[in-house]
Amino acid sequence: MPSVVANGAKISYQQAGEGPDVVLIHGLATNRAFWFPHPLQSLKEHCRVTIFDLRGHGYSSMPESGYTSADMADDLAVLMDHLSIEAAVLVGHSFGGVVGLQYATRHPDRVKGLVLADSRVLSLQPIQSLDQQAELQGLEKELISQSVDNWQKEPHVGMRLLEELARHKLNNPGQPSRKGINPFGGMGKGERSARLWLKLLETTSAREDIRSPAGLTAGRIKAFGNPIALIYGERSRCIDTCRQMEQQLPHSDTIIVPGVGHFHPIARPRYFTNAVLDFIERAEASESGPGSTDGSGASDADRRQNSRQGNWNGQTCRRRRERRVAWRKRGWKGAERRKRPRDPGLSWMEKGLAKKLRDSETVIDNSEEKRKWHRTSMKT
Amino acid sequence: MENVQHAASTDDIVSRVCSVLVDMTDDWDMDFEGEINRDTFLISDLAFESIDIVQLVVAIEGEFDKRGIPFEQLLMVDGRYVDDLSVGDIADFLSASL
Repeated sequence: MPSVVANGAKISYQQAGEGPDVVLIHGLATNRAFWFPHPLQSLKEHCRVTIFDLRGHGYSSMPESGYTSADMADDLAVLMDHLSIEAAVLVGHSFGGVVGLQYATRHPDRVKGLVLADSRVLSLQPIQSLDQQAELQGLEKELISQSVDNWQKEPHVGMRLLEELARHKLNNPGQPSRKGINPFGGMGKGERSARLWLKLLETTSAREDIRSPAGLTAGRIKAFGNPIALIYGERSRCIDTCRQMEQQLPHSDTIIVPGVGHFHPIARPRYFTNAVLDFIERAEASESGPGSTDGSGASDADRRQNSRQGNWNGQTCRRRRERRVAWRKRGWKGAERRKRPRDPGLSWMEKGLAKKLRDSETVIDNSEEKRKWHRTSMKT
Repeated sequence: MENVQHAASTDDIVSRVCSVLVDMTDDWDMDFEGEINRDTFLISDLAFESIDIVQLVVAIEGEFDKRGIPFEQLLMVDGRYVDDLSVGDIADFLSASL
């Protein structure tokens, strides 16, 4: 089964499709199966997609140390060399995005573009507290309400919740996973994945390593000039990172996925895949460098405004225009306006007058009834 | 005659898929004690999870020395994983795809 030894760890990987290279990097407590059902199946129609298990995850080995984002970026470098990938678009979810960012800032010449999907960058968002999210989801609420700890003081609430979810999974064997929020879901019971995550936290340096910025400072991020897309869930706890990244990298494009949280690539897979495909297309077509990513001549402010409005970098609108032009050339005359048939009955003025008349009659009737009631009550 | 050949090749596929599964689950701590055969289910019997399915895909492609088998047609319905799969399901799918 395909694997490579990188810095003392066996890294399992697989590839699918043909075309420009795209590498997908999963987040903590999951594995490469995170990408398999939707993004991989769609992307492999257009690209050669590489998915792999981070060290300590899935079918990769679990050495005692080496779990900082920088260490894992070094693993990625070995994997890309092994597969002779000269340059690729990197797509990382959560911690996988941080690994991608580490790699991209060290080897910008080998990264055509970077997609950060709901990543929290420690140097930009050192504290991730419970109130940094619109609302807790069902199981999270349960776990927190049953806990005796003070969750308000928890500075890494996302990671803490992952640990609690794994413990809950093992304490409640056989229960089906709840949709959307759980990395120990998908096919099967997820108990082995939960056990693996707890083993990683308890027997290796992962817990401390993951909480280290590992040299990924704001200054290093600011110097990154390649195309970058920030795709974040509207209800994500990592949204502060997204806003900070926008400031550090004015050429970045932002998509906020409405109504979903951290696991939006699972919750809204088509939305996510389409955004990634669109970005890959542009990253492949563009020369690297801020302000020249789409060739539209639009200013950063215009492009940011467009992406906030859901018009992906203004490109969606332009494509729609182009499609309309193409269809017109083929004889399409535009949507015919449907004429509203004239009401054969009363005109609006007549209707209004009729209503007024009805109302006034009611009032008169009521008044007459009231007078009758008064007359009767006076007599008695 | 053709049917006999088809049955023989399906039996061969079943045996090769079983062999892949035995290798994969060799060091697993699981409750299943029987022999893996055509009627064995991946999730309910072997306690497979998503990552195991993905790894099985890689292992089968290696075993049959063929890349790009459209496993998504077998594994997914409407973009989600199916509930369970038997060895027989996989063998029948491979028999039609190889």
